[in-house]
Amino acid sequence: MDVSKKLRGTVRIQEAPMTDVKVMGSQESEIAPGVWQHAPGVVTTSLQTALNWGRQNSMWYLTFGLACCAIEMMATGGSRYDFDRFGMVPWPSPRQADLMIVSGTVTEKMAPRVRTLWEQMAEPRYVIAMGACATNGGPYHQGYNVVDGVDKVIPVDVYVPGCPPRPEALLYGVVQLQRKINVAGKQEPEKQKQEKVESEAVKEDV
Amino acid sequence: MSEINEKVKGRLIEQFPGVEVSETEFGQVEVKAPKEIIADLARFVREELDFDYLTMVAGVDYIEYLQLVYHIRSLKDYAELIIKVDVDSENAVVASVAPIWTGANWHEREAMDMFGIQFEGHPDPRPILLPEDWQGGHPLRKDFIDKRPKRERQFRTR
Amino acid sequence: MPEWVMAIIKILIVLAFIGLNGMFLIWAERKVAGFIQARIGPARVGRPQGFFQLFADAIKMFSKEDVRPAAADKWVWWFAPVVFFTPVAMAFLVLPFGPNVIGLDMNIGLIYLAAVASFALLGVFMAGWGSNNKYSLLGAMRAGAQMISYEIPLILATIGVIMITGTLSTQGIVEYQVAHGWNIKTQFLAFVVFFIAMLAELNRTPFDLVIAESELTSGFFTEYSGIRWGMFMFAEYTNIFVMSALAVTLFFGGWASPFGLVGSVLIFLIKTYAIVFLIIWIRWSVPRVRIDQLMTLGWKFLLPLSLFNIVFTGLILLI
Repeated sequence: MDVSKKLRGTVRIQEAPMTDVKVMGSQESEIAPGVWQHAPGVVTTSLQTALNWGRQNSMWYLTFGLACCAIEMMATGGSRYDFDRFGMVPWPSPRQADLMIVSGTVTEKMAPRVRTLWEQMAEPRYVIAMGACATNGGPYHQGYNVVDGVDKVIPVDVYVPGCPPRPEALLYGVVQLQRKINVAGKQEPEKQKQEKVESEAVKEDV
Repeated sequence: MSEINEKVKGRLIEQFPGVEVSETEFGQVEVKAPKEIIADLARFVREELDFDYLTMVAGVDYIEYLQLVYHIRSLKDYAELIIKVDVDSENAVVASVAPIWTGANWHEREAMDMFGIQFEGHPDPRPILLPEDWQGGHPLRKDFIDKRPKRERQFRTR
Repeated sequence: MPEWVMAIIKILIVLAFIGLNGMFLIWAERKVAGFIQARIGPARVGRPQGFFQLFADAIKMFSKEDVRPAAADKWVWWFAPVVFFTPVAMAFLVLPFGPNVIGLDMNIGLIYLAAVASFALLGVFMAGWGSNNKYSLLGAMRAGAQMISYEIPLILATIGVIMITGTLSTQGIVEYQVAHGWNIKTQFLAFVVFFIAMLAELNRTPFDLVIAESELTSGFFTEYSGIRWGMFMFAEYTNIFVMSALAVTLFFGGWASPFGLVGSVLIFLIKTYAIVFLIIWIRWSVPRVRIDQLMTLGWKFLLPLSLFNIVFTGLILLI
């Protein structure tokens, strides 16, 4: 994609994978195994809790709409439903935004741009696929120019069904994402490993 | 209105003896022209008959051949003209009317994307609706098959 | 206590105040915006009224990835937030919070403030140039045009006050008002010019062409993320506080109050935050002007008005 390269102008320095965030201190210490068993990662877990609390309550979303779902997204930001209750503010620059709400049909022409915007966002970044089109192509699934789901282009955290979803549905999706952020980096190592295996299995199934 | 239509018909037959001129049930003048004279016809219609507003350029696929339909309005006389041009589907090359009506620019680019009709003398022949590197053919042709590869779902565990 | 320990303590107090003030103003802005737009505003974290929102924002801002564009001019890009932030913090040196609560009572306080305030433009321009981004550069160019043309009426408007009080020291101006009443009575025109020029200096609506979201993404700090962008935000909001405090000092009697030292500081803060509230109110009520309207207002109306104010004040003083 020549044009996307031209448009980008900047290159991401380093991909910071969230999977590498480990619960430090929860490994059993050789010197005093009992202590660590009963109080795993006292300090670091508290820090992780604080970080998660800050991140989940201050998700500034990218001012970015693709189709009719964007109207519902704007309505959710407006007076009656009010995103700002959750600490969410529309923010124009992708560098400073935390959340990308892909609201609408992703066409083949738009897909590289969506990818570029996602790459320009700084870590930690989250993606909500809003509506049927962004989830799997929706009514345009067989369209010649429609990407069947934005998850073919960027990884998605929460899918919100609906055509378009009502603002309540989008707010529920946001709450789901908050719950997802809340447990990030806090699982015990074995559980995390098991989940990884499971997700690999899902990947193979798909 | 019909006086104007009669006048337009008369001038067209007088100027271009080969064209078929008729009138539709909605009061529009319809012209079927061979594709070789489209540039001359467009210039004549624009400059002599005051049809100054190009509403749209559309493509149609009739399997044996393609057709281009131009809807043109005259804002002064309040008349509407339809020009239909048959195009060979294998070797689809037509003279562009974008230099005559600037509004034809994007419409012709769309017809180029969707039907693969090449417009000679178009000022900016880039794809408008399809991606820049699109290789999959022309979607609105009847023989179009979606050949895009199946993509992997992107994952990210947190 | 040796003097340098006191100096360090003062600096720490100012930095802590900048941090708290910045977080508080970001929260207050969103809350006021909510009230004006018939919304609720932040409500989910902390009681009352989502007050802990400011901590959530700060935690998020500090823990975000620091992306450096590959095409950026490294050192210029790196230093821009610092250069933008430092003059704002330096302005606190001469702000009189109370009878003796001032960093340093200079006899050229206002000149110092003007000099320091115009320095911030350098940071803006470094950010715009260093980012190597067209939106950043356009924002920085607009900032240059806007801040230079509005600094002139801003400073000329203070000259009327200086003529009446006969001093450049900020503490001296407040002491004059303790004796003679608020300057706004005699210098209303100067206050109007000062306030409009102040809005333009702060890049606030209706003069926020510098960070016009619909045109320039985020203006000169488009490319910054994480803590660097946080420094820009904090500097901007601290700048609002500094300018409001200056307006209070010049026109609204500063800390003048009958309630002793603590009462003076409180009165000063209340007046300042009232002006800050006015600025936020204007932000959420008024649309943006065009660049030519901005320049016309600055050079054809505010500049002659401020000059007229100087002449008028001089005539009154002569009579």
